[in-house]
Amino acid sequence: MFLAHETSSLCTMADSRYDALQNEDLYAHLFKQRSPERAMVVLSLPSMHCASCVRAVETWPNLEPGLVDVRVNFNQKEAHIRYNPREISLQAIAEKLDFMGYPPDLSLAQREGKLGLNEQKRQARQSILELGVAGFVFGNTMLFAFPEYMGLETDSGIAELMRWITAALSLPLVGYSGRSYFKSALGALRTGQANMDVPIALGIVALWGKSLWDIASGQGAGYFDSLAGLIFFLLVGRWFQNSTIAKLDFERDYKSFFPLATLRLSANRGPEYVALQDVEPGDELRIRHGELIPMDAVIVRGRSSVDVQFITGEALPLPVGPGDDVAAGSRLHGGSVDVRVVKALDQSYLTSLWREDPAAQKPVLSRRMDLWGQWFTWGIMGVATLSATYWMWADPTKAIWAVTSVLIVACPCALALSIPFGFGNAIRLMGQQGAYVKSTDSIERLARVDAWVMDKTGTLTHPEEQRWTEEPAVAPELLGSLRGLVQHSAHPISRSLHSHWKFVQAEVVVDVEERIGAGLQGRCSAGILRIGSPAYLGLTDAQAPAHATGWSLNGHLGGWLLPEQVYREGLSEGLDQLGPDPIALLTGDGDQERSRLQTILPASTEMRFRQSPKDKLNFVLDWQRNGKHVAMVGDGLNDAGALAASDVGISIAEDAMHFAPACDILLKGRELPHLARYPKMAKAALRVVKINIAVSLGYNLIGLTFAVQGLLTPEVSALLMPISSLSVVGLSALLTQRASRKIFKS
Amino acid sequence: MSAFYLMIPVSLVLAVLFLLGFLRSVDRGQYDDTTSPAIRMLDDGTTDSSTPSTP
Repeated sequence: MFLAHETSSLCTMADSRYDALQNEDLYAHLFKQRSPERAMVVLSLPSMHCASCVRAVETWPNLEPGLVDVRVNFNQKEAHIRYNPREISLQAIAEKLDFMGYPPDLSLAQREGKLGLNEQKRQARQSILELGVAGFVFGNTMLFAFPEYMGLETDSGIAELMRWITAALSLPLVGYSGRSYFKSALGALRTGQANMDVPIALGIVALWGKSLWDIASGQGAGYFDSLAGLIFFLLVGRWFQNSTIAKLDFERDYKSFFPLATLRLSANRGPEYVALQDVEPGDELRIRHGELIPMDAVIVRGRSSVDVQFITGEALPLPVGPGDDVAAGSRLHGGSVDVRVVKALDQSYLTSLWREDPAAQKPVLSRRMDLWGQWFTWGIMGVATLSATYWMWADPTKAIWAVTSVLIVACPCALALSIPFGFGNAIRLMGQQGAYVKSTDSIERLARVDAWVMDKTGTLTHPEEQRWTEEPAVAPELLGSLRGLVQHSAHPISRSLHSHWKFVQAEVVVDVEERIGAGLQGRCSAGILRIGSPAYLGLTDAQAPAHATGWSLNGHLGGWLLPEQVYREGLSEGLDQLGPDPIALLTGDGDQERSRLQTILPASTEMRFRQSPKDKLNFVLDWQRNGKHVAMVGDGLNDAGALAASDVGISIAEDAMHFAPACDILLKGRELPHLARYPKMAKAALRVVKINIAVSLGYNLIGLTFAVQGLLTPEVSALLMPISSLSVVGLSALLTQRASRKIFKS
Repeated sequence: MSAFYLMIPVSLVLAVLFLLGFLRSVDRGQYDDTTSPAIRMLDDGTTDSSTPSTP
């Protein structure tokens, strides 16, 4: 206890979030063993994501006195820690794990979630048991069928006994290992549909029934070895498929994660941007209009409204003020607020909210696939029935082979697998480049895009790098207040001014109000300060220098701020690549930059100025009415409606927290000049999916021609199933990788 | 040949015993985590230098 105290006093980094662990009884559910000298605790460490994490955690006892050993279960992201409570406390363990980069998840949700995890574990164990039993029956059935293979002693009592044994072995096989197929098939049939498992279930039943009949009537030995092989290989194929999908999911959730930062207020250093993972409960954050609230928090200062559209789909904004709780994922509308974080959440929570979008309609190919799957299955059963009737008439001995092979060999696997694997790989590859795609539907839509709409400010321009000229120079005593005022807004102009004045200490400004797209007002020590467009300050454009932002104190014009637009590099070559697709630029600014823009954008670009958010939305809808598939690139601030309406919404994500949740793709700002590569990749992925479907159809046709002739045995047919899954996975991986190398490395 | 009448049940019993052993190992959680043992195998007894010591 003394040691633990000492080390914890060295942690001056405010790790008070583990203080509750001092009361170990509260966390009794974590302990598997508890005695004065030896305790074992199971901690959830969701941040472990790779092999070296496992090693780092498991070799930790070599350095830490008091730890006996640590055993990691990587799949469950858990560590089983055995330690000596006399030498180290639970709190110290948690603090050190946090320090190492693996903060334990001690939340209530985790405790309750344990039940869900157990269900998962139970199901995983079931699958392994089914596979094991099937393998057991397979091997032993073949052993007992040996005399049949050798053609020995077919009539003696021993042979008879062996046949009955193989029949008996088939009971656990079909009743236990095979039951998931029956359950799935029955479930589908009850709703009048046919899924992939219906022909398989039928095949199993047919083969089993025929075998039992043969033995009972003395006609033969049955086909129990084929049946066992069939089920065994089916289960192997399924296991392989599941583990590959799990790996893909893991890659997507833990590795493609876009940079999100938030503005944290600290007493001595002033406001600073910090990455989400560095935020702790008790920190104060400043949230501005349009931004997402990253964690559960309570409002400390300011009045505004929030909507929970991102979380629940409800778009109605609710007013909030000091003392109100706000949930992670809600969006702020109106003036900025300062909040105090109550519960620090992992970024994956926001990522999962984004991905779980109550979806729009599924795009074309996905819907077609669902339909084809149905037809395919009914079609196969038709073919099976036909071959059955034919063979019963022509040569009954072949009938059973023909029917079961037809039912098993026909695998619409590619229909089910091509999209997840083909598009899933594309998502992963695009994530590596800096474009984070929401779902496979987004890729399909991106492949069909043939028109582009772009925003200017914040998208084509680099928001942080604008250069400003003050005309006249702002009096030094007012600089602090001005900076303090713009801090409250996430508008690109505000952010840009904020960084322009970065050497100035911001002063406190209160009663801040923001009029979206117009300006900002607040009260400072000198009076009422306003900053914004000429109109906002009560002046006409004629009275203002071109394209200027002005500021006033107590109603009197103080001066102008003239921006020099800095456009992202490489834009013109990049946007030229968008090829024959029409491009439109819609911006809320006036047309002062027109000539400059004409040098940057392709000649055929349609440019519209002074667009309100409504104008932008109508433009997109108009193009869509003309049959175009529109992709919109914006920063989500005043084009959220247009972004949501377009076929593909691409949001430029710099470090701020105001990405538009309704978008399909989050693109890193530096990737914008390379925009044209992404639809190319999506088109390539679509081609890969189509190739997979074609290959699979070909394989099915070939297999069927052999099957209807009775030339295939069920085990061979069953073997072909995992092979066809393998080929879909392999082909997808190979072709998408090759496409990505060609497209992105140029 | 009559030896078969003894051998067959014996071999069945043996096979079932192995099956039970398998069932028990699954129950005991041996197959719950198939990823970490693969990583753990590479541990050569030295301590990972990237593990930071106490703060």
